[in-house]
Amino acid sequence: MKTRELQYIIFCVITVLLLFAPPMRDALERSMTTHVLIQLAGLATGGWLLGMAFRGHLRRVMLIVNANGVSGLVLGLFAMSFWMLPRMLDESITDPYVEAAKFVTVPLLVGAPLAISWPRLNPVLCSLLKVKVISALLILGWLYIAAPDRLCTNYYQSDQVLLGQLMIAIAGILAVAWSLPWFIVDGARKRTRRAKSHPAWRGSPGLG
Amino acid sequence: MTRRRTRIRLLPSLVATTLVLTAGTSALWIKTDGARAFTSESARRLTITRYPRTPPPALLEASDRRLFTLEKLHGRIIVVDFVYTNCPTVCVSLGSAFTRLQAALIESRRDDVHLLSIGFDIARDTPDALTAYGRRHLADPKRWTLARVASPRDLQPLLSAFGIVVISDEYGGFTHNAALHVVDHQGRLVRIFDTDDIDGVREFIGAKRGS
Repeated sequence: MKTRELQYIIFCVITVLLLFAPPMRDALERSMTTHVLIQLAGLATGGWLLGMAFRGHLRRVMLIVNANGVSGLVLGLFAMSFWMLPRMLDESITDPYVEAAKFVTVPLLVGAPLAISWPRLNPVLCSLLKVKVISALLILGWLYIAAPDRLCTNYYQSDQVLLGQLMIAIAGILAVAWSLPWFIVDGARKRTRRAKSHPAWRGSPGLG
Repeated sequence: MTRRRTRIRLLPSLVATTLVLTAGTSALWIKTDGARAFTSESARRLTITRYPRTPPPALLEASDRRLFTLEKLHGRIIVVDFVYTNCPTVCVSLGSAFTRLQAALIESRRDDVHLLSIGFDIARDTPDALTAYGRRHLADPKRWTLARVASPRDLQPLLSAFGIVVISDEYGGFTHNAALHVVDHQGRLVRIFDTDDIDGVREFIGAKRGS
């Protein structure tokens, strides 16, 4: 195991432990906004670091069961939507078993598979995913702002509205960040070069 | 030849993706009760509808300081709501819901239906405060009882049995899942309605007439 990979693992453990420490956990779970945007996002990031550590080691297995990163991507997206259910936010606070399950499965089933699958993704699928993330954030954000009632019995409506507004803000930031490169570098030349080198481009339909 | 080999190599990934899709959909389906309950509030209502339950026998103190238990009201349908008398927002709409419901009961001569408001703010929901709250909402003592738990330790079990979560807010008040809870003749909590769903309650207890 390389030092780099060991570092990733250590950072992952530190992230998850920090978020799991009772004072931090209670503080973050007191508000719906920090519960979702800091705790859940942090756990997924911890998992992402773990995935980075194992990217190289799992290469042969991934070549077999995770061609183009599709199965890993689907796993990550499903696990993410599961923990984003308002019901699960409530249950993870009230039920210690659900809480424990959250701390184990968000890193392992959301962050890690996405980190492993991301570089394997077909560029077309990758762009599609970016669009999907932005639209999901916009829809959820709008839903949280417009919902007449509280979605979680443990949180205030004002908190829910704040989370919705921040989600829309994040969607805006991502949209700008992901489209900015188009205005800095003209991709046409770069893309032809990449098409020759990157196996995923060769395999994608219409690009031969 | 190469094409054939590629296709075979992709098969395990296809199987893996299918497995993940199936497991993921099943998990979401089960955890949302078949896409019917995405929030814990809708889950609570669905559970009660499917599995009616009898609340614990808590001793209550009415606004006229008489002590009674829920069991004493058996044989009648009880519509229960949870309030705190200092509440500026939700409880006012709950109060007006009960006012409208009471009017409807008088109109349809439903003497077998009783309204019960339970105050959960033990310190401030004194009998006097409850009486004032009742007067504000034109409560008819024969049809609408206002009460609090006689002993504070009975409060949490009662709230849990009904599935009420109370969180205190930054203004010294509370936020809670407000709803209309219907308890049937046998004392079982059988159905939960939205605060403004008076018609739903009327229809439901209308069907239960004389049963």
